[in-house]
Amino acid sequence: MRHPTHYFVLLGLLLVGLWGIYMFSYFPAMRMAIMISLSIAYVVWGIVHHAHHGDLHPKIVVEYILIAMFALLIFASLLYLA
Amino acid sequence: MLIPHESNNHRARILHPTGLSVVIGLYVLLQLTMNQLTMNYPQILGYASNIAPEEIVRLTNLERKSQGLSEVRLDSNLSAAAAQKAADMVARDYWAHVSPVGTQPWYFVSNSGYAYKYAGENLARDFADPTAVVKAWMDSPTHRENLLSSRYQDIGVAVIDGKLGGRETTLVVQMFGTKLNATGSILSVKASEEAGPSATRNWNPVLNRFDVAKSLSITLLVIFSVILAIDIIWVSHRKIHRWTSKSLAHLAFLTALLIAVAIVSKGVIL
Repeated sequence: MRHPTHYFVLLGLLLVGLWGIYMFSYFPAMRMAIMISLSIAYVVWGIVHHAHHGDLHPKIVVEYILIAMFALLIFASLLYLA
Repeated sequence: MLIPHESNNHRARILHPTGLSVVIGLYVLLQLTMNQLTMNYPQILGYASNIAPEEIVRLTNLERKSQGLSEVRLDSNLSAAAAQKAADMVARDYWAHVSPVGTQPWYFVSNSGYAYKYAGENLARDFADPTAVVKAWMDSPTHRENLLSSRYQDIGVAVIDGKLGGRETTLVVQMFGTKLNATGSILSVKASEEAGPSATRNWNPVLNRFDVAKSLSITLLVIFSVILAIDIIWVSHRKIHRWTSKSLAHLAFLTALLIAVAIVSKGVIL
């Protein structure tokens, strides 16, 4: 695994996000805001990671955006549609 | 489609941008179908709740007793105030302590004939059972303060089904108060002696929309996690160099989402 520090940063981001979602139970707007921030942070992480790796390509950015969108969709549908 | 192979450039088709877009599209379609089902056949797929006002009072008093506080007595005027507040929220379609026209909760208390010295209000919606409602209030410092305040001697609870923002929901309004002329400590009474007003449905849907959506989300995320794990093992085992996003990062992100979905519960308090 190259750039292990990047993965520690990602793990830190995810743990902070999960803590926030747990702490703000019963406040959907705050939980959604946390998930949106986490998804944006994830896409930024992907761009920075691949830029450092020297293999940044628009197709790769699209893949991170799609995964982030998928996560947001699942979370939002549970909070606001179900 | 799901396993990496030479034919799919050593990556499951579902992980390619087109595959991901198809999954997102199908998920949106599924949500729209479930929405239509919920709207047209609420008796099949809908929102289920079973909250008795007396149970809210009983659980509130249990929490108070555990803290060495006196029990609050169910007051019919406060229950009427809670019912008026709930009806007002449904009629004016709002979710707040103060109505869009500026009506404070205390207006409903006074209007019910309860002359108060102290009064407080807790609100909850979308919960399925009374235990979850009281637990949510206890977990929130401000609601907990109301619930465990030694200043209050009376309680009123209303549980009403209605639509808020176009969505079917169950509203729980809990009013606390102490009468202006109240003196000394109150006598403990059984909540069941005076039932609060209730306008709840007498049926529940075959399938609970939230439970169905949660199960679907968890299943989908587990499938994706397995596909990503296979991808990671395949690439590392065969020492394949690809120009793609990192499956390990996706797996970590989706695992975090899986945990978030698992801990998300229905219900909002105010």
